[in-house]
Amino acid sequence: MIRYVARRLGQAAVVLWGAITLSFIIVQLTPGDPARLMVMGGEGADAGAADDSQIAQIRREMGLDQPLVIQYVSYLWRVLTLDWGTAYSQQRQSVSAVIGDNIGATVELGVTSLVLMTVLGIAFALGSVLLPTRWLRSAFQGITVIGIAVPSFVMAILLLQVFSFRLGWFPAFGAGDFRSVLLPSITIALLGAGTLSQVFARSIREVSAEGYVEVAQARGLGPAKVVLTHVLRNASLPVYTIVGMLVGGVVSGAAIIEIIFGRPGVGQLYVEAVSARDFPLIQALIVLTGGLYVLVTLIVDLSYPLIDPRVTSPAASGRASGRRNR
Amino acid sequence: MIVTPPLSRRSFGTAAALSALTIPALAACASSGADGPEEVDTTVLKVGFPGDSENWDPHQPPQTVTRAVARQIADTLVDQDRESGEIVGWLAEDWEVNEDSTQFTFHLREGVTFSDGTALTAESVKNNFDRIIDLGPLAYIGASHLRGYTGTEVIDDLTAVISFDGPNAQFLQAATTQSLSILADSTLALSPEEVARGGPSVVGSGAYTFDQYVPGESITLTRREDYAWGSQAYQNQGAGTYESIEISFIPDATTLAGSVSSGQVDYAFSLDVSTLASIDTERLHLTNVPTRGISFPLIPFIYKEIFTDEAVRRAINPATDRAEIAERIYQGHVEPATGLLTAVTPGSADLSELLTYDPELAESILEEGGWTPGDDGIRVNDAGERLTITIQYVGGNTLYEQLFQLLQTQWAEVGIEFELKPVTEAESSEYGLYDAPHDLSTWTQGRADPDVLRVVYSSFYENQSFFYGNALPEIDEALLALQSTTDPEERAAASESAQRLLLEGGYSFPLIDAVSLVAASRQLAGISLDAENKPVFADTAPA
Repeated sequence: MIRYVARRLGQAAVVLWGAITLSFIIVQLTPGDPARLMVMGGEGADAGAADDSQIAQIRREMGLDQPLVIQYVSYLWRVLTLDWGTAYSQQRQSVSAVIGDNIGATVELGVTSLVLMTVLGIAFALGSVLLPTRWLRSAFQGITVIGIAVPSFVMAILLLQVFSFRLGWFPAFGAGDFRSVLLPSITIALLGAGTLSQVFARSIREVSAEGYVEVAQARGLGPAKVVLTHVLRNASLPVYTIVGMLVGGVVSGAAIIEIIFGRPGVGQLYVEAVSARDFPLIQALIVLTGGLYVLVTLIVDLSYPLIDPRVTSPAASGRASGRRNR
Repeated sequence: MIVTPPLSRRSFGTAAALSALTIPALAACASSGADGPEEVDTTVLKVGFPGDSENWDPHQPPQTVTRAVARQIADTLVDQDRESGEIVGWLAEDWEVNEDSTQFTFHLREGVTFSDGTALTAESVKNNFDRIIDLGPLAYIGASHLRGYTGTEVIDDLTAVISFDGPNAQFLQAATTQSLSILADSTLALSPEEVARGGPSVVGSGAYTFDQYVPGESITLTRREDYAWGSQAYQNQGAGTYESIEISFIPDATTLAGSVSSGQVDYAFSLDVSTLASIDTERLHLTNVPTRGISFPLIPFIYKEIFTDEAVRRAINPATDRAEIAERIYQGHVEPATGLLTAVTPGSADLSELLTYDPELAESILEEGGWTPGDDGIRVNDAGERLTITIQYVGGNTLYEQLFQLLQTQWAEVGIEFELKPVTEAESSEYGLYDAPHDLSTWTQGRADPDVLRVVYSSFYENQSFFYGNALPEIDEALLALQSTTDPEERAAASESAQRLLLEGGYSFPLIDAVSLVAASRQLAGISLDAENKPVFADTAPA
């Protein structure tokens, strides 16, 4: 068990280091001079109104005039000490302050989406397995395909047209009250719920085919009772994995969703940072989203053994992760 | 009816910034009555803006939304009547301009206070203009209006004399623009970044105060109960009707249009042309007004070899069918250009006879210039070089792609090959106006004064003037005539002769007069716009 935890922690650290290094390399790989791009990088009216002293100052502040190795080491140090520097596109506020201002709305959106996604995904999966007629089961499965197939911005606009512009149930923009978070959350949730319910439904069918389930059926239990008492626990492992992976999707989905729904947040900030080429802010956001992903994966990995002790048993340790083969 | 903020929006490199241009919307002075007198609530006016500029310093770069907020919170020395273009009083009751337009004396109104309680004095005027000079590139529009500034002399509390080292006739209209807003000393004492962050520290003498800014989300403006010095161009010179104005940023064009259609906001500023079909004009006032400033052009880089050839430059205008562009690309919501200024801009001239679609004329100009049709219909010169013009633009903007493709077809008919090269925004920021790898560029710049011609089509301003470093002496001289007199007729004459020279030489290919679009609930009246199409919320009231 300790070895299992240590290995997971080690892997998490390596992935995080990779994200940090990637965020460093991106600045180096950008064609042209990052300092000049940052000064000139505004759109339209801002472009071109740069002067050389501003460029030189930014280059100095970002350490771009230092040798690459020194830049990299000092970058790692600043990341470890959470010193992200200045967000040039945000009136030179500190990167931490800018992210701090925006993260609340995104966390609200992300958590609500994940909860809805999980609830919907499980409900659709159970529906497509347990409903009494074949027709109903297929209908439930069909709905989940829509969730996977429709692009998020199309889904967002459809939901807005119906539930905001026409029915007026939800506001079309803004943040703050609970009603304003529901429509964007449902948009994100529907996309993930499709994947989630398909994986879960398949897992339920696979587990249902195993011997001990047949025994339970032979004892005369009805299908719902069999699934709920004997299948669910074993069939749920892939769901954890998928939810973990979908967290990443929620963060990247937030960029489009926040713009369409006029919500402040990290997703919108990402887009602004990229279009203004605000490198310190871009770097911090890459590390932040990378870190979040690593953290969620770690939590998922560490919670497997609680659900299925075989994951850390010697017999399973030879297998890659214990996840895929439950 | 008079208000004057300048809206400057430039885009360079190509279509990048233009998207904003054509479609930004502002409202016009249409104000009309309304339907049934429902219960009248004047607590909050809900407004949708197409985004957050992240820079709320009225003196700094000229994003439309920043200027629209500046219009409400800060006043200017003078204002401009939207219909006549005439300069009218605001913070200054009266003013004089000396013979050679080098000295401007303003007599300030008595009793004006900033919202922090301090009084407006001649010293305030001096401090503001001095700050704009100090900001330099950060406030490049204001700084270019003040070029040649030698200082402000404070004669007494209410008299300020602004002097320039040469004639600067455009300054009077420039003093109506947000770039030269008069802010309180407490704001001027802050760093440019602090002012740009907006909120209550941005203090002006306007009808509303800047109460709150939530980045990416909203701005709240609050009425000044003691406001009593509205511009003579305003319908209402007193305090606003609405207690507060809640501005939400709604960056997605469809959501913005849907929000005003469904009544979630009362007023949507700057709609996208593509969303017009969804606006129900039974329930909404739709204001579609041409922008004031240069008409939307393609401007050739005259340092590129292909455009050193006068025949090529002169062939493009007659090869361009503007009516087809207005109809097919903009669904008839815009008018074809009739000159280098939009038709509603003060000092504009109707030069449509120089912009007539005449492909035979284009062909004969090219023949005379030694360009003969090659095997595939594209012309070649004696040296065997193809007549190819290239534009690089930031890809992904459907409107521009369609526009350029239509031009490609039109120009191909007379044997000109128009090559389109979409690039990423990062690539487009690699070059400037004077070292571009392609041959021409779109541009937009707004201002309700013919001086905008002098800024764009001269060699005077680095990063703003197309012929900077490649002066065309005859044209520079004609444009300078705009600076020597404040008399509107003389300036209109100067504007016309400069435009004639530019068009006859093939130095610009104006296409259409872009429009600003505003939609507002029919429950509202007083949907006033100032001379440069910014909303004037002090005039807005329930219908």
